[in-house]
Amino acid sequence: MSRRKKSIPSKKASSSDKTRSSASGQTSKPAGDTLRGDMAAAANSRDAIHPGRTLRTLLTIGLLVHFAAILTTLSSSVDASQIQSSLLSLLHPYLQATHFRVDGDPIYLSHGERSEQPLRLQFAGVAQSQDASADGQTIREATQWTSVGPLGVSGMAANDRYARWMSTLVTLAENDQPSLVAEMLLPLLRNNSSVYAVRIIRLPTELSTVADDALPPPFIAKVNRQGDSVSLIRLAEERMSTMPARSTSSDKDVTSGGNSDE
Amino acid sequence: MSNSIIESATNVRSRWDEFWFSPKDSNQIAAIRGLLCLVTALYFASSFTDAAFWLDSGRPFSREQLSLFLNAADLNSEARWVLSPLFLIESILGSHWWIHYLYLLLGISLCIAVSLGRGGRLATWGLWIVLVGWANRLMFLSGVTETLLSLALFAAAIAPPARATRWFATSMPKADPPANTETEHWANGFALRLMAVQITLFGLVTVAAMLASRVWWNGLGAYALLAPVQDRTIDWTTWLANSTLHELTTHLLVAAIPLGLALAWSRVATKFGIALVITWCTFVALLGSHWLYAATFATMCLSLRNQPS
Repeated sequence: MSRRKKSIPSKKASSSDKTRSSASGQTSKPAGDTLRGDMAAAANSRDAIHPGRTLRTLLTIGLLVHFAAILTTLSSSVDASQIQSSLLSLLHPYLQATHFRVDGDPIYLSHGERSEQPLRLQFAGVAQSQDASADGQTIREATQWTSVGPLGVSGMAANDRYARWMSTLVTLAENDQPSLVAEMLLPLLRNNSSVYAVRIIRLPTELSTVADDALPPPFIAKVNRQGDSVSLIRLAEERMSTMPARSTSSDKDVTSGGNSDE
Repeated sequence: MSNSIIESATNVRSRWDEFWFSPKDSNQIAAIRGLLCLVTALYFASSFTDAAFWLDSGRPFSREQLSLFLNAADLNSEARWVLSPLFLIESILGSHWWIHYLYLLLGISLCIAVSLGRGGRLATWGLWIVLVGWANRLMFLSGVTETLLSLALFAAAIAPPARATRWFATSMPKADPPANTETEHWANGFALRLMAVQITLFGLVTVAAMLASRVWWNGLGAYALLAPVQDRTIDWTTWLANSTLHELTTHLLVAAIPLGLALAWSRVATKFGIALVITWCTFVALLGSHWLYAATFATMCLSLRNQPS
C-alpha cells in the first residue's frame, strides 16, 4: 500500500483542523506558554495518511463490485428475475464466502402471510395406555404432544436458528420433499426411542384467522422402528369423506435417503 | 464541449476521492466497532445454548448428517463456497461439543480484544472471519442478522485498530485532552463511509421489500411484525388493539427509514435522522423480538454521523 504523509503546519490550520479542534475542545496556545503548551502545539501538527492513486483505483473498482453484489442480493429478497438469478450465480462465490448473501431471507421482516406463522416441532411419546403401533387416526388425535421448542431467548441467535430450521422443514414438506425432512429429523429420533410420532404445527398470530388455525399440521409422521433402523411414515392429509378414515393405504414411508413419494 | 466534459469528470472524481478517501481520526469508527463487538459477543454467547443441539456428532447439522442432506438435496455445488474454518477443524478433530464451545469463546475473546484496540489487524479481521465461519457452518440456519453483522464487521475491520473508549475520552469537555499524536488515516473515513452506504442501501431495500405486502399499506403491518405469544419478550397486544395506534405504528415503521436516512445524509438534521432510524430499530425489537437484528442495525446507522458534504 503506497501512502503519502502530509504535514499540516499548526499556523495554517485547515477548516477540517478547526472542526476537529472545536469538537475536542482543544485550542492553539500562544508561543510564550509553558513546555506543555509547546508540546500540545506540536502534537496538533497531525500527519494524515492518504492512499496512492493505484490503491484508490483498485478500491473504487472493489467498491463498485461490492455494491453491485449487495444490491443484487438485497433486491432478490422478495423474488428474483432471470437477470438477478444470473448475476447471483456469477456472484455466488463472493456473496457466499463472505456471508453477504440475503436472497431468500425475509429482510422485509414480515408480510403477514400464512407461511410466516411461527412453527413448533412436537413429539408424541409412548404412554402406558397407548400402543406404539397406533394408526394415523390415533396419532392425529393424540393429545400428549411435547414441544421441542426453541433453545434460547426470543430474538437471540438460537431462537432465530430454530425458526429458520422449522421454516425450511415445512417448505420441504410442502414441496413434496419429505425425505429431506426425514434427513433433518431422524438424528433427533434415533436416540429417543419413546417417540412414536412427530409433527410440525403452526402457532397462531394476531393476523391468523380461525380458518388458518384449523388447518392440519403441515407435517405429521409416525416413527417406524425396526431394530436399529428408524424411518418416518408421513401421514396423508385428512380429506373430507363420507367413508371412515383409512390411514395406512395412503401413508408414505419417508425413510431417509429414499425418494419416498413413489 | 469536451473541456466541460473533462472538467465534469474531474470534478466527479475529486468529489469521489474526497468522499471515500479523506483521512479521519479513529474516534468514531472505534466507538462503533466497540458497540459492534458487544453485539457480536452477545451473538456468540447466545449460541452456546444450541451449538451442541445442531453440531454435535449425530445431530442434524453435524458434518456427517449435513453431508447426507446435501447429497440427498443435490446441493453440493451450491455448498462449495460455504467456507468455514470449522469444517476443516471438524474434519481433523471430529464433531465434539468442546470444539464449538472453544470457537465461540474465541469469538468472544476477539470481540474484547478488538474493542480494547489490541491484537492489531489480525484481531479485527480475525473477528470477521470467525463470525463468517460460524454463520457459514450453520448454513441455512443463519439469516439476516448474520449478514448484517458480517457487513458491519467487514467495514469496521478496514479501519486501523483503536480502543473503543477513545471516543469517550476525547468527547468529555472537562477531561484533559490526550496527547494528540494520532495520525489521521484514510481507512478510518473509508470504513465509516462503507458502513454508512451499506446500511443506507440495506434500509432502503428493506422498506421497498416491506411495501411488497398490503399489510404495510393498510395499517396491519405492526400486527404482522408482532411475535407470537410464545416468543414475545414484552406483550404489546393490549396497546396495539387500538386501531389508531397500530395503524400509526405501521405508518411510522414504513416512513422512519427513508425519512431518517434522508435527514441523516442531508447534514441539516443528521442527529434527528439517526434518532428516527434508531426509533425504528427499537420498535422492531420490541414488537418482533428481533433484538440482535435491531441492535446491529442501530449501531451501523451511527456511522451516518459527521458525513462529509
